[in-house]
Amino acid sequence: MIFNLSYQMTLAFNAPVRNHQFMLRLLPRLASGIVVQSQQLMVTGEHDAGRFYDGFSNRLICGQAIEAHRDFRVSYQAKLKRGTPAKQSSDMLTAVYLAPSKLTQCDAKRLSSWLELPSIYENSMTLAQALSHLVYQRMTYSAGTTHTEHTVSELIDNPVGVCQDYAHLLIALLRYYLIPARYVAGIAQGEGQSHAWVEAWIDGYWLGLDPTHDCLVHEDDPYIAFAVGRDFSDCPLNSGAFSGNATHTLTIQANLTPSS
Amino acid sequence: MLENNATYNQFFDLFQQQDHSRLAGFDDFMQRQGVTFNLYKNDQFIEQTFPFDAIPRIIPTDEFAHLSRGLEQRVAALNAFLNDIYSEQKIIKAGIIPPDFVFGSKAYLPAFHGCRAPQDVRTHISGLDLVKDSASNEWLILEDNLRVPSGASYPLSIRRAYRQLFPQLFEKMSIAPSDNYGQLLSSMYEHVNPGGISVVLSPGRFNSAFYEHSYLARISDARLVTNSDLFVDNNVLYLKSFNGKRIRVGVVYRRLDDDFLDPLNFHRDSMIGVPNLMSVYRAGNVALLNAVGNGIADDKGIYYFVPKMIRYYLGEEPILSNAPTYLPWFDDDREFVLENLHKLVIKDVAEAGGYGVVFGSKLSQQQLSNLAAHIQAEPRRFIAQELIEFYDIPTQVDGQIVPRKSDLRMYILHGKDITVWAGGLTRFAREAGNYLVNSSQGGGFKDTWIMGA
Repeated sequence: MIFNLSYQMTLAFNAPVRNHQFMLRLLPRLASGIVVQSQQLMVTGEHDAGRFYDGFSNRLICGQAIEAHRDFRVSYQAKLKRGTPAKQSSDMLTAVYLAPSKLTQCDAKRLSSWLELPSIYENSMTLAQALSHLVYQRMTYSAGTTHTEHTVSELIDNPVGVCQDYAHLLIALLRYYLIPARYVAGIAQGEGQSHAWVEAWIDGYWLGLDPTHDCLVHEDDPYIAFAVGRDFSDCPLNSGAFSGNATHTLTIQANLTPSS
Repeated sequence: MLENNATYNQFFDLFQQQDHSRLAGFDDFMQRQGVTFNLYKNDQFIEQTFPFDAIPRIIPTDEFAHLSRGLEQRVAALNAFLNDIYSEQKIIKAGIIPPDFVFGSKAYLPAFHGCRAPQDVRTHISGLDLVKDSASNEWLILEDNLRVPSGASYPLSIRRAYRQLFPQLFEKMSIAPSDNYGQLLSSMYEHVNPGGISVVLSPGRFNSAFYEHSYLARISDARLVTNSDLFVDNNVLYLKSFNGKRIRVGVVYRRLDDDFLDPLNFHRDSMIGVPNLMSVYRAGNVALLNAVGNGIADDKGIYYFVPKMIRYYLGEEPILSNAPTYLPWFDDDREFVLENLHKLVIKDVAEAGGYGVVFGSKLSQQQLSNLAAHIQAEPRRFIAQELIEFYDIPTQVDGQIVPRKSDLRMYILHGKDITVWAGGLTRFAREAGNYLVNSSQGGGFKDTWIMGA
């Protein structure tokens, strides 16, 4: 299946900034089985930014916009093919996705007494789907109510949030059942902005689950991963530091469509 | 029990002939040089001198040779472990270290998996803490410090004062010179340097070890800098010089923790880091001393596995042993620990600096059962060690020579070779019978004399 992806990310500052150092995770994650057929990337002030992979095989764009600017833009257009991800050679052990992480940490007893967790299930696959459905049912979607450092412990008190919170709760549940689970940040069709979902390591493959939309993510579905990690804190799409007394607003406008 | 060897007698014979009024010269020296140790207590910033005792710890030649072999071996294994953990993770796949102990630790930095350190050296400067067990007369390793081990400047600078105040001791006794530490540092820099000058990166003068940062920069021929002196351009690190020129930096002996190194990659509100420093590191254009992510190797839970690392990576038997340690995470160990809690020393692996150490013998019944409940609830968080009756060494307190518990931090530099510095920081407890020698607990320090052949 071939997709057209375009996005524009804009950081708008209310005053000029200089020496803007940035690190972006805004390129399709090749390790997730994405093949780039053609692409065009433009980054403000970039002369020859560094391209690296982080430890999760996410692609990084590192660079700096030295001159004074009020807008920082990243625009991207690509034709991408999604195929079956290669069976992991497992260079980083999947057990890294079993340990509780910063944002998914919560007391197991609290988690199990809060939700009616299944005790009998056919197999890991059906269990993962049941857990994803449970998250979808128990959470209430509400934009702007949570911040990016929101933890699963806080979600138990107040199960309201956005896709990131849905993903964190599902990750905590999967790990509770000793299923390695990871956070995925990227773009999904119809979202118009960035999206977050989950992958569970089942029978030697990463199974995609989108608890916000209560569905599985199949390889033909319009989801393009940019970064994976133990939770959100491992895969921010944009990190930066600059000189100048300014605040900024971040917008991402994305469009993902199957190509004819 | 008091440690003794023939050299101590030689020392005391000579020391008694010296003019003891000159001892005041040490305090003058420390004041003048600004040899201080900064502490935060009750939110107050206190600059205090590190109490010094003139009676050195003395280590005979053959004992140092044995220690050196053991420490070199241990550092070689720890470096191999770090390279492995951040690449193939063979030691986990081989079942020697349970994945929980690596992946469950905050010190493990998976974002830097696959990122190689220049020359594959990660343990550039190690500070290994030892005590000498009076029961077996053996040195035991208590702790590996592989992140930013501090303290070398204290014995180094005091040695200079010692030679000036009591030259006769150095004429009559064959004490190995320790003043090559700066040279050892700079040749290590040279080995790992991908190109550029060397800097010592300090958080600034309010840091508890600022005296040391400036001292080490001076003796190793590196520039002392703070983050605002450095910037990154196109995956290269530069120093802003006074005439507006940029000078390429190849080695950063950083005296700040990973968490503060780069706000783009770690704590994003760090005001003392260098934004995008890690892109330079990823590009292989800078050596960070010590490497990022080393905390996984000196984690208190990983300590237990170091002898196994030595066997696994080097195919050798450990020359120096750990203090007998139990991991409540293992069922058998937990049973033993819970039964013997009143005799053991319990350490909380989440804490450093001596505050998280509990002596079972000092707890009430109620406290013991609370601790037992904690261990049962979170076994991974604790390690238990047998109480080591380590030697006291003679120490002057209020003009009297009295026995005090002392440990020893030895510094091991890893460049082309692994070299154990012929000096060390001996710390002693202020009160009789106290086993905690940390400077943050009010302990003092001594010079460490390695006897020459």
